[in-house]
Formats: sequence, structure tokens, C-alpha cells
Amino acid sequence: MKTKTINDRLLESITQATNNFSDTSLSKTTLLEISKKLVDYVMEVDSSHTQESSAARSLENDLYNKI
Amino acid sequence: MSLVSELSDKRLKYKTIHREGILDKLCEVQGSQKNIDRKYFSQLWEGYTWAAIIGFINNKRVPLGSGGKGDAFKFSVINNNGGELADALILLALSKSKKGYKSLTDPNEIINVIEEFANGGFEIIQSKIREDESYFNNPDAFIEELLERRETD
Amino acid sequence: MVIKSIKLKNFQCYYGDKHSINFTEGLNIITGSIASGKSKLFDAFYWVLNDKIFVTGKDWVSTKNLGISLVNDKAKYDSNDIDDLIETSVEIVVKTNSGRNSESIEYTIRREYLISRRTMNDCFDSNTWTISTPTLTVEHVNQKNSNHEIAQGQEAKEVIENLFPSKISPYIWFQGEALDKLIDFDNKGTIRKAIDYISYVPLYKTMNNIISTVDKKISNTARKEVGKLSGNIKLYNDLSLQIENKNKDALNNQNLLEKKLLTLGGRTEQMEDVESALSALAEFPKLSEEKIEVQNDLININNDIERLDIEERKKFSSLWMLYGTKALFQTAADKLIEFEDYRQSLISKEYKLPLDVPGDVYLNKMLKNELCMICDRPAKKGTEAYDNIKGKLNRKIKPEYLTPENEQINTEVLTFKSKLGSLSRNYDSIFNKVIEHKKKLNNLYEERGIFNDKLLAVNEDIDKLYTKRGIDVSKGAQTHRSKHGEYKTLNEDIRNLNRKIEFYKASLREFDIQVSKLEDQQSKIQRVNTEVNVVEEEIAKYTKYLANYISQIEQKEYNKLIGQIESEANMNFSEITSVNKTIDGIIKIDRETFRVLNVDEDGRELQNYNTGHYTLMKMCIINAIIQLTNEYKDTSYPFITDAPTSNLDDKATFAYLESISGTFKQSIVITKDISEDEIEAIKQKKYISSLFLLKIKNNTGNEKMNRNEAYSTITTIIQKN
Repeated sequence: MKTKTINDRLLESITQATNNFSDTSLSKTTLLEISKKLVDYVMEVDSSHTQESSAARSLENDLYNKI
Repeated sequence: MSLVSELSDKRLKYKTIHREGILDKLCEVQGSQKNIDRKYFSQLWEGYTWAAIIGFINNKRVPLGSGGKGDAFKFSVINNNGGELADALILLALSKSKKGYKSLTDPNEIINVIEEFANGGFEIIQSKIREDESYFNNPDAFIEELLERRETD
Repeated sequence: MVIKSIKLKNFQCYYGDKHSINFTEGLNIITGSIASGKSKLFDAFYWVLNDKIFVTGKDWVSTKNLGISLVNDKAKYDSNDIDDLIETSVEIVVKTNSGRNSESIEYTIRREYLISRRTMNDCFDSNTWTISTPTLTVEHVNQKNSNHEIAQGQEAKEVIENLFPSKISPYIWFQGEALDKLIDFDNKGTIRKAIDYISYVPLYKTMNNIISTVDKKISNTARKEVGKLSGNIKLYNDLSLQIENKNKDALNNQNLLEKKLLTLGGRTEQMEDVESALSALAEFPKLSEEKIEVQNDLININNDIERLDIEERKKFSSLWMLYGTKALFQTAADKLIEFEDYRQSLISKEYKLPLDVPGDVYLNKMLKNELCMICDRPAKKGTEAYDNIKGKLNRKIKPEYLTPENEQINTEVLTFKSKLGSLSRNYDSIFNKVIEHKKKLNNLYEERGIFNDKLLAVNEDIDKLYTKRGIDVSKGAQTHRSKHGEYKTLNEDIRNLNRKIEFYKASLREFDIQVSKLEDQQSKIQRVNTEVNVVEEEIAKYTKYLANYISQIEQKEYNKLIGQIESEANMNFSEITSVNKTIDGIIKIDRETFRVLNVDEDGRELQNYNTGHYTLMKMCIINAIIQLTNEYKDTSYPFITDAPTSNLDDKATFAYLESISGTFKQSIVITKDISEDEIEAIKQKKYISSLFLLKIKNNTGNEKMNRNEAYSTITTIIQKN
């Protein structure tokens, strides 16, 4: 059994907290994708490859691309 | 003159080996009862009397034998310091003397009996020490030995 | 990561360079009897990585303060010339895990220093030697270009920090003694620190920051764009500006709030230290008073014992030694009675003579006159009557029983009868008096024993005040005053901080309300062009939704993590308590205070702690922390500890070892002191992968050795691969 990565855990905590995005009419797939990207950026910041501010900018760009 | 006063000047003799092997070990030579770490008996006569009593109780009478009698001390020492113990020794000698009540007027007989039973007592004590060198190092040993004596009633 | 091997040269009790251990995965046990070098081996691990060792009672001491004490004594003793060099070194080989993108790498970490002899004076005097600065090197093979890379000094330190982050290393390895400081159940900071390190909870903060930054930006842009379509652009823009300003102020206050919270955290920790120190100081007078009391009690008891002893000897030499002579006194009494009977018989015989027989003078007169003057009858010479009268002449003047000899005996008998009487009376009381005396004496001995134990305990408590809280209680009032001063200042600070924090929180709430109002106003403004879609509006829906939820996750995950530590720790705890019935209950971490408690099933705190309980709970928590770290950080650290179970009995110790053998990929445990015959028992355990035995080598042929002769040796007993 593959042990969970931190990414998995972080993502899991979001899906658990929102109950799999059950209480909204927004697109679940989109929410999931955004969450995944967010998690990736968090890890980049943690490993000091990126600053929070640039991560925020990158996420912003991603959002514009998705929606 | 009473028996007691006649005895006063007489001496109780004992062997030197017992002086060295027992009395010196267990008695202070200069009497003083101040410190617990001192020897159990504060004076020689106490150790001697104790040995005599042990001899009497165990019925061990051993003549002193001839030649090199060793040391001695005056009976009056016991009488002056030991109170009832001097009387007790006389009574014990009476109980064992072959002369019976006639010994009461024979101070030499009394002395002799006491000496020989004391000698026997010393031998008993000596063998106890030979068995266990440290037996009497513990002050509790004296009361222990006391309580081991049986009252044949 | 695993530790593959360790090599020691001239390090403390390890003479020369033939000392090495090759470790395996699983449970490695290092064992040996007292003073065989176990703690020094542990020191070696710590020293090579951190340049310090733990000195009992003092804390971690760095090499520069240790001088030549780390260098093996025999090596120093063997040196015969000036300029002799002795090298002291420790080298370990560590193998990292293979990750997703990399192979495993082997690092060789080596620390060494040299001492060189200056004079031929005492080889154990530090002035005899010059000491070089320790050097540290870390070597490994670069995966990419297969180069042999060597890092030194600062660079080497950094590699080590990467391999064994200083935040986690206190939990990976510790000595039993350092355990107290590591997890102080009364100090909530220690658990919090551990949790902050392991958990990825800080990552949630980052997540929160990123999403809320994005959300704010998108929302702002959305607002602007919608504003362009608004029926009342001026009003819209005006409101927008107000909203933006409010948001800016809110952000500002948020930052200030966070700064204050951080400061508050720091002050709170400082406060805890000061409180701990103050309580130690407060305890001291009480303890010292207790100590004086116990000492006085001991003096009194010893005096009583001495008195009783003196009394005993007096009594012994005046009466008691007679005990056992009763039968003999009986015999003596019999002899006295024998005489009395004899005397009595003599008396009776005497009384057979008629009382009215006249005296000799009268009788002579009767003979002369040849006449019995009593019966008035003639008594002629030669007749029976005459003889009769004559016979009564010269009768003994004193009766037979009154001979001098008998009289003397009689006097003595009377004397000794009375002496015997009084002796008997006293004799009867001897036995009871002796028994009573013995009882009294034994009671005193017992009492004395109890007080001696008390004295030991109170001395131990006083020592603990020093080692545990690092307070020198002998400085007393001065330390007290300064600590009190610190306390007051911190208290004031904390009060002020809390006030400020409340203020900022209130202001943020206020800003929220105001912004909502403004946004509400904004949304009421009619849109001119309702067909145009503002894309940011759409995006903002998503970002707002996520930002909302994510802001709460941090706290939730924190709680979840504590729950995980609890349950992980309890898994180990229950395995061990199932074999040791004196400890039970479960471990609970209080969510508010982070205090660690031992509770029963209903959550009630159990009070029957002893040192063994504490130790066990601490170790289970530490194990849980490391295990979770290994899981969360997707790595595995080895677990290295020196005598962690010295407070536990054998059964609990083995249960503990078995449980950690299952928990960690590699664990290295240095056991408490054991004797050689106990080694067999250890060998039998299946869960042990390797077993190493330390012994002191004695080549001298004498039973005792000097410091320059004794040294430790390491023998491999089991090594499973």
C-alpha cells in the first residue's frame, strides 16, 4: 500500500472539510482541480522553491485559464 | 567474720588465655559507660561473672590446672560493684559444691567452685567465638544468648 | 534513513581504532554491564553529529568545553614522547531512503580532533597537551556525476541539518536523563513544539494565505469590472474605493494581530519557564525545612537508642545476666533448707532432756551427800541412783546444735536465705523486662529506618530541583527576587498583548461588517449591461467558496493530529501495560492546555504515578511523534536511545522493545545495565535483529584496574540480515 503523500493529505483535508463540495452548485471538477493546483503551490512554497506571492499569482493565472 | 567479709580479700583466678581471648575483647579495662561504641562490659568483673554464670548454667566445671595460673582479681570488686551478683555467685557455688551447706563457712571452697565454673564458662564462650569470630561483636548477641537459655522448671 | 555503521577511535573509554558496529534494519540492541561504555557509545553518536555530549546534571556540553576529557585515557597514558599525536574520532555511515526521484545515498560523516603532547608532565593534565579544533567532514557520491563529494565545516553542518533536522533530532535520540527535559508533562510548550514540527499544519497557513490572497485580488478585480458596467459608476467606484481601503486596513490589522499573537506565544513560553523556576524556588524552603525536621528526628531517635543501650548494659551487668539460673537457686535453697532441717533435728534431740535437771553445783552437792535431793532418796556410791546423778554431771554446757561451726553456718544460712529471697523476687521480673526492652529497641530501629528513608527522599527531591529546573536553589532569595521581577514584567506584557489582540480582533470584525454593508450597497446598484459576463465574478465564486472552508481547516487538522498522536501512543502503551499490571489507563492530551494525562475509560485522571509510569508515557508519545513524522514527512528516521527503560521492570522493558521493533524501520537501543546471564534471555527474543555486547577489557591479571588500563570492547553477538 502506497503511503499517502503530503499532497494527498492536504487535498484530502479540503475534500473532507467541504464534504466533497456537496453544498454548492459550482462545478465539482473545477473545484477539485483548483484545490489540486493550490496544494501543489503550497508544496512548492514549503520546499522554498517559490514565494507565497508568486504562487498566488500563478494560481490566479491558472484560474483565468480554467474558467 | 562473715563469709562475705572473708571472701573479700580472696582472689578469683583465671587463665591468661581467657583474659586475652575473651575478657579483653568484651570488657573495657578502665570502666566507663559513656559511649555506645565501647565494649559491652565496662569492667572486667562483669565479664568474669557473666562467664561464671554461663559455666554454672551449663554445668561445665573445669579445674584450673597447675602452673601458670594467670590473672586474678579480688572478690570484693564484685561485691562492691555488683551488688546482688556477688550474693548470686555464692549461692550458685553453694548449689554445686560437694560440701553442701558446709561450704558457707569455707571461703576457699566457694572461691574454688566459682573459679572452676568460670573456667568452664570461658571455654564455652571460647568455642562460640571460634565458630563465629564476630558473634559477640554485635551488642544484640548478649541478650540473644540470654534468651536462648532455657528455664528448666 | 538508516544508520549503517559507527566507528570509534580513542573516544572516551574506547582505546585505539578497532571499535565498530555494523547496524542492521530492525531492532539493534547494545548491551553490557555497568560502566562497560554504553553511555559513551551514545555520546559518540551525538558527538559526531552535534559536536557535544550530554553530561549528567549539566546538560549538553560542547567539545570546546570538554578539552582532553573526550580522549581515551590509555592512549594518553601510552604516550611517551613530546609531540606525540593522538587522534580522537567518530565516523558514522548513514544511508538515506530512495525517493521517487532519487536513489539512496550513503553519507560518511566524520568528526575528529587531535591532541599533541607539549610536556612530559602528568598525561591526564590538560596543560600537557595542545588541542586542535575538531574537524567535520561529510562525504558522499554525487548521483549525477559520480563524483566523490566532500563537504567540510559549515557546508558539512548543513548536510547534517538536512539529514537530521535539529527540530526532530531531540526526538530521534535521547538518553533517559534527557527525556525529562524533552517532554515535560507540566510544560505544554514541549508537546506543542513537537506537534508543530511534525505536522504539516503550518502548510495550511500557507494554503490559507495563498487562496485568500487570490480571492481578494479576484474579488477586487471583479468589483472593478462590474463597476464599469454599473449604472452609477461614480457611486460604484466610490464604494469600491472604500471597500479597498477597508480591506487594506483589515489586512494591516491582521498582520499586526499575527505579530502580536507570535509575541504572545513567546512571552507565554517565557512565563512558563519563570513559573516553573518560581515553583522550584518556592518548593525549596519547604523541602529544606522538611530536611531539618527529619534530621532532628533522627538525632532524637539516635539519642533514645543510645540511652536504651546504656540502660541495657547496666541492667545486664546488675541482674539480667542471671537469667536461667532459677534451677540452681532452687538447689541452693534446698541446701539451705537441708541445714535447717538438720539443725532442727538437733534441736529436737536436745529437748528430749528433762527441763528440771539441776545444775552441776547442785549435783556435786548431792553426790557428796550421797543423797538425791529431788526425790529425797539415798544415793549411795556404787548404786544406780549415784551413777544416775553422776551421769548428769559435765553435760555439755551448750547443746550440740550450738557448736561454733553450726552457729556460724546458721548465721550464713540465715543471711543467704534472705538474700535468696530478694534475689528470687528480682529474678522473676527479668524475662518480661528483657522482652519489653527488646521491643522498645526494635521499634526505635524501625523508626530510624523510616526516617533515614525520608531523609534520602527529601535529599533526592532537593537535587531534582536543581537538575530539573536548572535552578541553583542555594542562591535562594536573590534568584527569587529576580524571578519575581521577571514574572511581574511578563505578566504585564501578556496583559497588554491580550488587550491589543482583542482590539485587533474586534477591529477585524468591525471591518468585516463594514465591508459587507458596502458590498451590499454596491450590489444594489443597477447594472446597465446585464449580458456581459464578468469572468472575475465567476472565478470569485470559486475562490470565495474555497477560501471560506480552508480558513477553518488549520484548526481541525491540528486537533486531528493530536488525536493521532494519542491513539498511536496508546497503541504502544496498551501493548506494554498488558504485561505490566501496575500501569493502566490510557494516555490523553488535553486539547486546551496540551498537558499529558493518564486517564481511565471515563476520562478521570489516574493519580497513581511513579517515575516508571511517566517514563513509559513519555516514550510512547515520543514514539508516536517520530512515527507520525516518518509518515507525514514521507521519510523514516531511525530511533536511537540510551537506557530509556531504566525505570521499568524487565517485563515492561521487553514489551516496550518488542513494540518499537514493530514501529520503526530501524531502532538502536542501548539497554540499561545488565549482567552476563541476562544476555541469554535477550538473545532468545525473535524481534531482535542485532545484538552487540560491550565489555571492559582487563588484560592486567588484576581484579581492579587503573584508569589508564581499562577500556571497552564491542562484540557482535547476533546480526541478522
